[in-house]
Formats: sequence, structure tokens, C-alpha cells
Amino acid sequence: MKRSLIHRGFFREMFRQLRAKGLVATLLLAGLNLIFFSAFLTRDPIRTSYTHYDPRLMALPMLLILYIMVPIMVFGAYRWLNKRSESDFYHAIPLTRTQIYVTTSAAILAWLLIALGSFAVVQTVLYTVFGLPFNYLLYLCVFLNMLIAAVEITAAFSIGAALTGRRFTGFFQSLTVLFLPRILLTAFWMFVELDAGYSLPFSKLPFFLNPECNIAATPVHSLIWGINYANVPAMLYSLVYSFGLLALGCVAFNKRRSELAELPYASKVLQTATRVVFGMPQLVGIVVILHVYLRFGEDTEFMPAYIFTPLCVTSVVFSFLFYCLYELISTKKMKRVVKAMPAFGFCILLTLFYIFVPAWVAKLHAPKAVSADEIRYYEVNNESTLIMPSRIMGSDTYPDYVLTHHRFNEKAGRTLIEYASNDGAAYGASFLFDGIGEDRAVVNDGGLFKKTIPLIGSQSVQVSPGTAFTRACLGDRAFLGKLYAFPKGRVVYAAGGLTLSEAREVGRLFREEYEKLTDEQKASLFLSRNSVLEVAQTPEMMDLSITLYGSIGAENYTMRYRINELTPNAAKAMLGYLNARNAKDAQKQLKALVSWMEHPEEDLDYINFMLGNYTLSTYGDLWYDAETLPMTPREANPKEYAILKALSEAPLSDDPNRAVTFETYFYSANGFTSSLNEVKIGLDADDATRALIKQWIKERGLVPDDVLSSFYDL
Amino acid sequence: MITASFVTKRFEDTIALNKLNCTIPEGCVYGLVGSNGSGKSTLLRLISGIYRPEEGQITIDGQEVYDDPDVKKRIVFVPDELYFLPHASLRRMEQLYASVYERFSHERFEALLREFSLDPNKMLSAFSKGMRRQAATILALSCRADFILFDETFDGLDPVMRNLVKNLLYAEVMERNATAVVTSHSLRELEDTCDQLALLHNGGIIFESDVDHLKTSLFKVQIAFNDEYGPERFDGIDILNYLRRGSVATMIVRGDRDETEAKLRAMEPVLFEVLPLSLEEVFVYEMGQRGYAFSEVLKQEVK
Repeated sequence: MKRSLIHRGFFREMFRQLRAKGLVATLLLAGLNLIFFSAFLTRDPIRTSYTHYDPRLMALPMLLILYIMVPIMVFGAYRWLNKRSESDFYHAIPLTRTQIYVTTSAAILAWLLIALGSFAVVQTVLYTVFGLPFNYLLYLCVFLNMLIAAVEITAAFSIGAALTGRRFTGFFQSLTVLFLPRILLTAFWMFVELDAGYSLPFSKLPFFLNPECNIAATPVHSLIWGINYANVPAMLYSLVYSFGLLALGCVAFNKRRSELAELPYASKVLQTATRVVFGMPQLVGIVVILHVYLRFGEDTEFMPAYIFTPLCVTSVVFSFLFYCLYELISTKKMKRVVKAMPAFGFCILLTLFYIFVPAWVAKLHAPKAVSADEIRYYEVNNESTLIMPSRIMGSDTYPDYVLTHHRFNEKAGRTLIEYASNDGAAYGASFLFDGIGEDRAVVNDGGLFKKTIPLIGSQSVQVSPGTAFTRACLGDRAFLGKLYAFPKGRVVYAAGGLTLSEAREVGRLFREEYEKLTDEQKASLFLSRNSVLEVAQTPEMMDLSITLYGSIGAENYTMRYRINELTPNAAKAMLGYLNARNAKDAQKQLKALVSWMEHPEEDLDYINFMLGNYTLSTYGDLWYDAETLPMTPREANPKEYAILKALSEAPLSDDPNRAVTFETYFYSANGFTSSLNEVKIGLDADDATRALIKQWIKERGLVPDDVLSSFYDL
Repeated sequence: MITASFVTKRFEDTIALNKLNCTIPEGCVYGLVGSNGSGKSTLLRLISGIYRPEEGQITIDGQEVYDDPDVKKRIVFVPDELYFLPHASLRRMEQLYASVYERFSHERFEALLREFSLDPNKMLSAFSKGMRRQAATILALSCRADFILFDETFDGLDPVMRNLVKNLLYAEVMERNATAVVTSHSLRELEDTCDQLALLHNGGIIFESDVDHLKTSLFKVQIAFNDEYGPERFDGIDILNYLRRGSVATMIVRGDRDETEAKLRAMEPVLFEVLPLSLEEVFVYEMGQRGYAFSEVLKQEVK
């Protein structure tokens, strides 16, 4: 007789049993949603700009909630497997074991779908209603990834539950199923990298080896490499893998005997694997040290040879103890511990495997020499955005986006790669870095563009030398055309000190003006975290910028443009908004400052102010002290006093060709509350004051004579 | 009909059932007696498809039970250690049972509720042990299954409820031709309940018989003659036990009662009396014949 895999009545019952846990999961995700959303709402829309909502920020917290709630739900749904009487009850029900398993899994996944789905709907509605920057496609990708992760975690813990009769062993065996393959592979490739001495293009590895696949296990990688949540093949792979695990769980559940309840485990293989997991961490140190020895072949300062033997012995002893301890805790029988002892050999074998095999693989993957003519194209990835803090906490810029989506074929670049591949990646890279001192045009100041370059030779040979590029390497006209074009796609404007609607108006004006400029002029307006030092001919002028939060497909980017005399309408509008809002506060602070310099015995709240177009946030402390006028008495700093006095008497100006921007940060305390306020205005200083400011800046050595030009100033 | 053929079931190093054979016919109350650990519960779990035998097979009308819902739908099992869904009332249990047992009768459920006077909306966790067993009985009987398996059926029930459950079981058997398999470690418990009895010991059935036949085929005879006599005088009569005190001999005899009585009367005894045996006494002698000590098998004192 044909039977439905999901039994309606049993599903209803299991769904009901999971109600409390499912609601907790929903509430936790809703709480997470509110925390993130309230962070947007509580921002002062005038004084601070919005940042683009990046759903990837949510991914790890969401995964964390899934890691907590899914095991609780799975073990809750299958708790009857751990008690004889309960196990008998469910196994006596006239349903096949497959029906019980599939129906239970469906009930768990239904709750997870509700929890994740309601979170997604509320999130989307909130951000849409409040008109905040939101990338729907990327959000969908992250949501799907989380859903796949939920299936995978459910499957892993279902396997653990099916193969054990106690929660303790079930929990650890589930973790083994979920993470062990990924940990083993990750560790393996890390050792290969260590032996090879260069970065491997992990994203080019086959599915199971690719850190972007198998999303539930990605935290293992995300601490090291970034995750591309919009990688559709990886998502499909993860989905298939997750359902494969679910199917494996079904097989385990069918094989499981009811009498396993209250017994520690059914699968000797999985129990052994879990014991090995407990025993291995103590041996990792030996593997690392031996890799270092194998590579450098001599004593190192941090690890002299004479302590190696005692270290090995101690590690093995501790490993053995942990290995046995797990068996003792899980089975509570010394007899089983004794029986399990011989399998400790797997720990030793695995250690030997990790010592020798990665070195061998590293040799196989050594970069191959290629000639410039063989190279069809090369890709340039900005590695600095692939490390977690930048990837998660920061946001790619529009140039990053353009850069990573372009295939270069410049002769200069290919020649560079030929050199790097001939001499080995590491040597090639270090040579080029040495060369930076001589070549100001190298794009790599500060190591920002140290790249891993997957390049495809005519024989489809992939090598991945880490190297740096000169401007000529990136001088592709098509690339430059895209780079300077105004970003396409959905864009939200924001600017410090403006409301969203004011920023939108300034943005509209800016865009009109920007599109009429030459490439060189456009390049001079790029202001982003990737820009390098710029020469300011008029350091007292303008420090105005507008930020774009945009998305193309499932990728977010941020772009910041300078607003100055090249975009006069935008500048005039922005200064108008700022002056209207800030004049009273800023001039009050300016006067207070002057007054204090005249009468330093008076109390003064902390006031800090800035002049000109130096951005505090870009270079931090290096420029902070220099840009801030010292808070000293008039007699000690007559020049500063003269500047401040003149500015305090200067009229407001919204003329982009005249306005001196003045900004104060002042600390105000009122009763129990305190805040740091920031206000900016444009002032029309006379020529004498302007000259004084320039002279003062020069005397203070604020502007180096030989600052590098911007990378974008190609 | 339930058939167990050479069924072996092991738990790690313990053999719970060892090449067990038995046949449970339809439309009867079949009793399984045995001491703790004899394999009664294991046999019921095998019959209900919870366990799978390592060797041999259990079939119901020729179909294997394990993991076959079509067969399992015909069986309902009430274990010795009862389990109900977490935070469930009888009403919620009714919903689950009704969804998985096609023949579940809500009318029967309501009728039984009235009979047992239980509140269907009260949490089962708040029920006493006896009430929980009543609740399990209500659910089992409402399923209208062909085979009703009760493990330690009357455990926790007061005498009134025992009688009620017994009567309900009889009704199921009589009205629907259902088969009830009940277990107990006490023979006395099952004596007046079962049509058939089987005695389990060390994982095997060492004795199986129709209760009526048992009771009539074995009887006690007290006999005396004027002259000297010995057991050899009773040639042709199946004597299980012979004891003579003075001139009176007491014998446990197996065979057709009327025929044996006629034979003995023909010997013209001065004293002749046929006495009935309790089921327990029948078991003692039958097992003695098979080389088992009853007290060992059932771990209870023989009166």
C-alpha cells in the first residue's frame, strides 16, 4: 500500500510537542532582529550617517541561535529514543520508521521555517517601511543559507539521536557528524598552506573542500576566510549535502533498534570517531611543530629541539587520557574503556597523516611557472576584505566590486605574474614589495592590494602567487570605464549632519554634476576607506562628503565621494543644510573657545575642533593631534588664537569656492547624562585668515611634501 | 493467528528468547506466565513489532509484523511501564490514536470513559497509577484492534477495576473475535481469565495448553482397597504422582476423567473420590513431569 512519508496526525502531534521550543527559537530570532533594527532606529539621523544594512552581519548570530535551538528541538522531538518505555510507545505506533523519522524532521523544519521566515518577513517589512538601505537579494541569499544550515544541523543531530540512546553521546556524536569532516579538511589545507608557503585559492576548490559550501560548518572557516553567501552553486551543494545527511539519518533511524534506548551508542565507528575527536586536540601541537621543523629544518627560538620529546610524550599521554575519559563518561563502564584503548591508534595515525601528507600535497600544488603569453587573464581580489573583521564589520567599496568582477589581461600584469611564478610566489611577492620604494605608482601602498591571484594559463593551469600590482597592471580601459561610472543599481544616500531626505537631495545634485566630469576629476572625488593620502591645495576648505549605500545583485557596496567645488550645486545645498542646522551651536562653541583662550582660568567643557578637509576617521591618531588646535592660552599660541578669533567673527558661507569648514566635537554633561556632539558649518573667512591657516598647517608639518597620489587617480 | 517460529532475541550478552515457538489462535484470551526476566515482555514487544528478532520470525496471519504498519494497525499493545505523551490528556491521546489506528472508535472511547469515570481533559500526569492503567486500557480497547496485548495487565488495578477490565476483555473476544494476550508473573492472576496458558522460562515456552483441558485432564484421586496394593495395580492409568499414607493412596492422574473413573471403579475400591485440582497444582505436576520445579520457574511458593 502506498503511504505518505509525512503522516498528518503524527505531524500534528510532533508539531505540538515542539511548540514551546519553536516559539523560543522564533522569539530569539525576533529579539536578534529587534536588536539590529533598534541599532538603526536609535542612531541620530542628523549627526551620524546610516550604514547599509548588511544581512551577513546577522548570519553568525543567526547560526548561533540555530546551533542552540536546533539541538534542543531535535533532542526534544526524539527524547523518546533515550528511554525504553517511551521508545516502545513510539515504535508500537503503526507507522513505518521512515514515516516517523520524516514526519518528525518535517515538524522540526516547519518550526525552523516559521522562526526564520517570520524573522525574514518582519525584517524586510521594517526596513522597507522605514526606507532604510536594504539589499533584498542578498537578504534572500542569507535567508536561504540559514534555512539550509537549519536542515543540515537538524540532520546531523538526528543522526546523533538515532545512533545513540543517551543525550550525552548523542550530542557529541552529532557535533562529530556536523563538524569533523570540515575540521579535518580545513586543518589539512591549512597545513598544506603552511608547507607551501603561500595562500591557496580555497574558493576554487571542489565543493566538499570549498569553505563556502556546507554552510552550517562555515564558522570553522569564517574565522579564517570570508563566506560568499550569494554563491548559488555552493548553496545548491550545501542543500544536497544537507538532504544527504537527512537521508543518512533516516537510514540510521531505520537501522536503530528500540532497545538501544538508555544505551550509549549503536555505531562503533561514530563512537570511535568521537573519541578520536576528544583525543586529537592534544596532538595538534605536535603536528604544528613538526611542520615547522620539516619546513625550516632547524631549532627555532620559540621551540628548541630538546623540549620536543617530552612535549610529544606529554601530548600523547594527555590525548590518551581525554580519549579514555570520553568513553568512560559516555558508557560509565571501565570494561568498555579497556576495549576502546586499541582504537587510540587512530589518533596516532591521524597525527602521522597530518604530519606527512600535507607536505606531499603542497609539493603537488606548488605554483607552476607560466610565461606571460600563456596567461589568458588574471583576476585581482582584494584580500584585505576577505578577512573577517573587514568582511563582516566593514563593507566593500564600489571599486572593490568593480575590481573583483573584472578579468585583466594587461601585458604589465602578465609579465609580473610570469616573474612571480618563475621564482615562486613568495619570492616574487617580496621582490615587488621591495620595489615599492622606488615606484610610487605601485598600487600597493600599505599592503592594501596584496593579492591572491587565481590565474588561468592556456593549459588551464592554476597558480596562485601572492603578489602586488602596478597601475599599469590595472590600466584596462574597460575596467577604468566601469570604475569611474556612477554606481548602478539601488542606491541610498547618507551624509553626516543631514537627514536622509536632505542627503537624497544632495545626492541627486551630486550625481548630475559628477556624470559631467572627466575621469581625472571623478577620481579626485573618490573618498573611501581604500583611498590613500591626497594632497590638499586648500587644506582649510571643505570637508564634505556623501556616502552611497548600494547593491548590485546580491552584493552590497559602499561608496564615499568628496563634495567640493567640482560639484558646486551639491556643495552649496549641503552647506546650506549644515549652516541652517548647526550655526548656533558651532558659533557658540567657537566663542567659548576664544573666551577660554583669553581667560584660561575659566572652566571649559571638552571641546575639540577641526579645520579643512582632513578626515579624522581615515588616518586616526596620526592626524588627530595635528589637526586639532591645542587648547592652550592665547599668549602661548597667538597664531591659533588669531585663527579662532577671526573664525568666530566670520559670516556663514555656502559658497563652495570660499567656505572654510569648521567642525567642533564638544562634550556636554547635564546631570546624569552626557554626550559628545559634533557640529559642522561653512564660514567665509577673509584672505588674511586663510593665509594664516595655511601657514599654521605648514608650520605644524601636517602635509608631507611627497604624499602619494590616490590609486584611483590613474 | 499469531505465530512465533524459532524466535531468538538477545540483549547484548543476554538471551531473552531462545528459539521460541508458539501459536496464538484467534478469538481467545492467551495467558503468558513466567517469572521476571522469563521473556514475557520481550515476546509481547516482538509480537507488537517494537523489537525485531535476531533469528526466526513473528507473523500475524502469515505477515511479518516488524515495521509493517498494515499489520501493526491490527495490534494494540499496553506495556507494563506505561507512557503517555508529554503534558497530554486522554483527549489528546485519543487524537493521536485516532490518527494512526484506522478503526479507532470515538463512540467506544466515550462509552469506556463513562464506564471508568475518567476525566478526558485532565492531564494524565495527574492520574494515579491505577487510573493511568485504566486510561491505557480505554485507549487500547477503543482502537478496535484484532490483537490486544496486555503486559502485566492488572498491575495497579483494584479488584473492582480488575473485574471490569476482565469483563471488557471477554466482551472484545466474544463480540469481535479479538485475541487478547495477557501476561502475568502470577498464575493465580490469570487462572480465571485465560482460555490458553503458556509458561515461559529462560526464554522458551516450556508448557502451553488449553486451560479447560488442563483443568479436566488432570485430577486427583483418593483411593483405598481392602487388600495390599501398590502403584503397579493401576496399569494403564497415567499417574503423574503417587503417594500412599496408610491404606489410602492419593494419585494425580492424567487422562479422560470419565474413562479413568470407570476403570478405577471397576477395581472395586473401598474408598474412591475424585477431587479437582487448582490450575497451580496442575502446573506443578505437569512441570514436574517435564523435569522443572514449579517454584523455580515461577519463583513463587507452591501451596
